[in-house]
Amino acid sequence: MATSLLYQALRSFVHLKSFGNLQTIQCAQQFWSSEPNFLSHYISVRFRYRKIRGGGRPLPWYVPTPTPRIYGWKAILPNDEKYTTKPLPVVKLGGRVPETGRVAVRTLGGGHKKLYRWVDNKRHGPTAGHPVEERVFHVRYDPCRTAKIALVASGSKKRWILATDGVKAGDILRTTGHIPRISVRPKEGDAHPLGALPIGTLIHSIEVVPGKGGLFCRAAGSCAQLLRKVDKCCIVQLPSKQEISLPEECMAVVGRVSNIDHNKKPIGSANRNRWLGRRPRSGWWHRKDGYCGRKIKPLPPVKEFGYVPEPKPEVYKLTF
Amino acid sequence: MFVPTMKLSISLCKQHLGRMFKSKWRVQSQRQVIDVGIPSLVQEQNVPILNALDVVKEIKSEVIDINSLPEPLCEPPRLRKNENHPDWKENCVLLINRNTRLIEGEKHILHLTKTISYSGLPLNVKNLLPIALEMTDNDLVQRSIMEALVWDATQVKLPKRINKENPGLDFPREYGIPHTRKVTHLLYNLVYLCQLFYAKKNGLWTRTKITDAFSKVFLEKEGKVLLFRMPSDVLTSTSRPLSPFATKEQVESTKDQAVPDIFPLHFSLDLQEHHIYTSEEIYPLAPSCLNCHFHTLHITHNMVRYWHQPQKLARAVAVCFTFAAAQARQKFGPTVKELTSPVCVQCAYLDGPVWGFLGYQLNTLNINSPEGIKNQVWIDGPYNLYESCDQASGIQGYNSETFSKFLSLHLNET
Repeated sequence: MATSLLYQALRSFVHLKSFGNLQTIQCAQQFWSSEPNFLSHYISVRFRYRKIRGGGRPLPWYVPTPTPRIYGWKAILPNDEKYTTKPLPVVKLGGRVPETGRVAVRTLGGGHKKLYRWVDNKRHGPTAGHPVEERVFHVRYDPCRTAKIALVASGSKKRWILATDGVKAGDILRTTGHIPRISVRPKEGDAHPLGALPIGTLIHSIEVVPGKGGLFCRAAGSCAQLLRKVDKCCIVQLPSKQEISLPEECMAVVGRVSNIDHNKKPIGSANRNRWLGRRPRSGWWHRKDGYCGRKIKPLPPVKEFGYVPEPKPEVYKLTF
Repeated sequence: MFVPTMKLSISLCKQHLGRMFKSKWRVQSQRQVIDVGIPSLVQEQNVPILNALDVVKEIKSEVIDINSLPEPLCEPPRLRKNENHPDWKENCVLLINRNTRLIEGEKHILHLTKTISYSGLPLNVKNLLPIALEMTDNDLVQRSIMEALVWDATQVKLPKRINKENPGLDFPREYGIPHTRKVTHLLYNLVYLCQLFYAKKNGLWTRTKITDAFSKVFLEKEGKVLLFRMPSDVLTSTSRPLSPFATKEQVESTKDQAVPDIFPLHFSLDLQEHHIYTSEEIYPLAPSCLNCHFHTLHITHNMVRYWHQPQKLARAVAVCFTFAAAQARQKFGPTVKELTSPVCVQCAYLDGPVWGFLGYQLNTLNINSPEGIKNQVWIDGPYNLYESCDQASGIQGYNSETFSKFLSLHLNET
């Protein structure tokens, strides 16, 4: 009785405010209808979500929510937009929106000078025949990310890619787009489509749309696990325990991302934080805004990727 | 809008209706577009229908293209890096110059120039080493090193030093001699010493010494045109060519040997695609001059960016090949493939303390096919001339044999 009332209330809330999408409704429906397996749907750990420096806390509606990774710095790409392995200059934004120049995040700014190395996230190979072979020349530190990067070359082209844990100079990395009937024996650093990998493989730099390049698990030491395959769809568990369903043609690299001890290295001092381009936070205790403290949330349903969403209806935005 | 009839007091201002209005307007301002179609009455009368956005156009201010202006106002044509450059060619060439850093190192250049390498200097140079060791005056050599590295009065701002362990901490700013000046000065001094010792042995210095000479050669490989454009910091030339390092039988035996394989790389890796060039080839010496044969080439590394030792060696081999090829073209004509008599050059490459020596014999210019006779290179080094040298402690770890090897290259008679 209580559950149905709550569900109705939730639904009416969604209807009135018109801010929720279809997924929230489906999520609520699944949650309340599965009463017998109630406890199994809880995550006992603290709910983790992407924290944006200066964001994350509840904001009033008129403040646009900050988007991750765009307010710190911006690389200046060459004029002809041709790929290069040369270190490129960086413009520091100091927490400002690149277009408007308004401050979006207060706690970013300063830091040691750094240069950007253009990392290619696309690992694509032929669907038939011999795989693409690339030799690793060296693995090095990159100031613009937590993971290490590797310089690889094949034919007349060389490029930077994310270094897999255990890959060293002189190794040969193979990339193929072929999906065989029996799953392959994976080797660290090689890239395969998800459909070709055996169940339980640890993977990183996972594509969401085939051909668009790796998106998930690119931070130091992170990896996802291939859980199961359901009719040309592969279900992968991300480091946040969220399960996602991807098309089997999506490429992924076998193994963990390098620099696995990154989270164990202490920053050491407040001033080193400034060298890394982070300014001090306000220190103000926000009472009861729901940001701090333990949260108990149900396990979210499997998120589906790789389908084309319906186009949204055209809307006139009237000005007053 | 809300018009207050009451007095604007604190109690009235508590009810902020503007905020309520804003939150309502946020939802109500967005109206879905409904396609009602064109009315049938209008359709019947054949009224032309236009998109409203086509009629209402933005007025843009005209932007003047700078390059369309006459000469003094536009960008100078020689500075343009695009099609408007006077020397721009449609067909691109693969350029190898001083700044080309081959990541694979010596293997790559040996594959590219169809060359087989041997360790150690060629026999006729090796035999000169005992004489060179006898002639070497180590005090003079050490004085030359000190003169170049310490007793120079130049004081300019040196590049910043970085502490890798603790990058936030700064070193005090240093003033001194820049690295490029040190290396070139050291090279000039030691080449001058070689002149002295050679003149002591033969009574006269009969060779020509040229600084900053460069050669330019076009060659074809697998349907692609390669442009070798290489400099030599100091070049010594003689009136007669160097005698070959290998006999004819040894050259014939290279047919069975294979050049190094660089799989999975292609030879065009790291070569720059270049459109701005002129088609003539350059041989740095006039054919009518007395000393028109290359003897020894010298190339320095200026340390602007860190290069590994195999990469420096690769550049030295490329310098040897370019100068030898230019000489062969000048001697036997522009269409020559297999040379009737080989062209030999010697080379020393240095990076301050580290020195290496080469002997190169060009047997063929047909680098397109892997079959047939191959070119040969004798590689010796790298050796340390000294380990460190500064004002406080002088020269540390001086190696006398390095200079003797350098001298033995210069003592090699034609």
